[in-house]
Amino acid sequence: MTKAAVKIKDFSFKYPDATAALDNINLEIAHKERVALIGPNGAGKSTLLLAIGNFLKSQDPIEIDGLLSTKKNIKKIRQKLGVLFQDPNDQLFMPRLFDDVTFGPLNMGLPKEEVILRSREALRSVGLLEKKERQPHHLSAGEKRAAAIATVLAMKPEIITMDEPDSSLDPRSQNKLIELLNQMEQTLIIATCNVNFVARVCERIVLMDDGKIIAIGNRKEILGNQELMNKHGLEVPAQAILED
Amino acid sequence: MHHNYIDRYSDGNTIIHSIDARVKILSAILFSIVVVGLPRYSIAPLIWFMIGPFTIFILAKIPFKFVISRIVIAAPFIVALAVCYSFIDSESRQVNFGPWQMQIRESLLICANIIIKFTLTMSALTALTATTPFSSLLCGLEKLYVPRLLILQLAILYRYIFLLIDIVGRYLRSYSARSLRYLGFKREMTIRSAMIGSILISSLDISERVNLAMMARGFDGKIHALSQEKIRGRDFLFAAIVCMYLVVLKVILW
Repeated sequence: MTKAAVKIKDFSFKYPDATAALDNINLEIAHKERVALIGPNGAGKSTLLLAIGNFLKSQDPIEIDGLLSTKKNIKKIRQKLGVLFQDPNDQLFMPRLFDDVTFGPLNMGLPKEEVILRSREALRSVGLLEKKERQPHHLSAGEKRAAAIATVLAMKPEIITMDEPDSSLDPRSQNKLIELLNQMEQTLIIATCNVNFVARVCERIVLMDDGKIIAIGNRKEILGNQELMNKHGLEVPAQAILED
Repeated sequence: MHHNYIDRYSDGNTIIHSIDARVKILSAILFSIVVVGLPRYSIAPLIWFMIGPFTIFILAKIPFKFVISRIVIAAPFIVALAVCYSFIDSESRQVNFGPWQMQIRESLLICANIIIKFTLTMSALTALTATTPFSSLLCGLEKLYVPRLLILQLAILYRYIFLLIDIVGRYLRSYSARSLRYLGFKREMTIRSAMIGSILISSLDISERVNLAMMARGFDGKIHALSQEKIRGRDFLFAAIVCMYLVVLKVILW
């Protein structure tokens, strides 16, 4: 039997002030699958991504490619799972773009030649190889997003989680990002409120609200269900995008 | 947002830019030590030390306006200290300025000495930072065995200072957009205190998110770096010129 990329069973999480952020989450994501977590603000999408990324302290374990999210497995999980945060500025903390991209592979203990090779490859794949010497604060919002993706790609993870990757991007940058995501072979888990964006990237949709999973289905089933979408504060994407 | 950052001219392709960061760091340190170690009543001989940094600014095509702005930014604390010295009651001392001789109070001489030494060392530091990309500077420090934790802190500080400036800029714009009249000293101070508090909280949020991003990429407290720079002939030549310049000045002037 093949292992699921991510397996979450009866997962709940409360913040220290006892606010329930996630309530009895059950979700299984296969390898190479592209899954969107959609829902209104405060639905628990980002918290679920943090849980998958093993950043929350919880008694309920999550399985990442068959590995339980325990302290013992954290290093292996970090190599299998790349995390793209909402604000690319948080991910680009070194003075030079190339240093940022090499940060992850160096932490993995790879030989220097391999680190350079992977980093150049990751930068080339997002179209930023020529800007590798640039300081991150000199990049545009779209370039920063692409650079943040390169920092993750350089670690060659099997699974990538992305929190609102489309935020603050103009339509041209969004199109570039969609093109890039559609070329990626990894398992993608994308949290966003932008239904037009996910309709062009993800095949499977998980609708969340109030810390719970409300519905899981393919994009036509979920995104095309006006009543369901409106009930949870979302809009239905353009028909043309759904049928694309 | 565009910022007035310290290594704005570091991407140049002059001979000075191509010198290894380690050589430039050591040269700047040596220059500063020699300058600081000069007698505290000397004034005129110090002027000769200006030749070094200013030759570098000319060769590296660094605008003097930029250099002066760097010195002025750092000046207030040192100038205040030096001016305090000038109020100390002291004896007069004979000073030679070429063919001229003057009687000047020792405290005033110390005041001038501090300001000139500060200008010289700041010029050397500006010459270093303006001709070396910050990442190369960090690489150089690492090769000079500066603790890696300190280097990482410098790297993150350099990156996040701009984000903090952005936050401050946003707060100030938001404030000025809604501030239609002066609300009185007490109220204005309360608003500014609240803004400073919010900026501190924002900076804590940033640090927490950066920490998560670092952990997500396998950071476990150990810093790994990728440095490949090697010292070449021109670096040795530059180091030799700096040493000769300092030795010659020291011998001729004293």
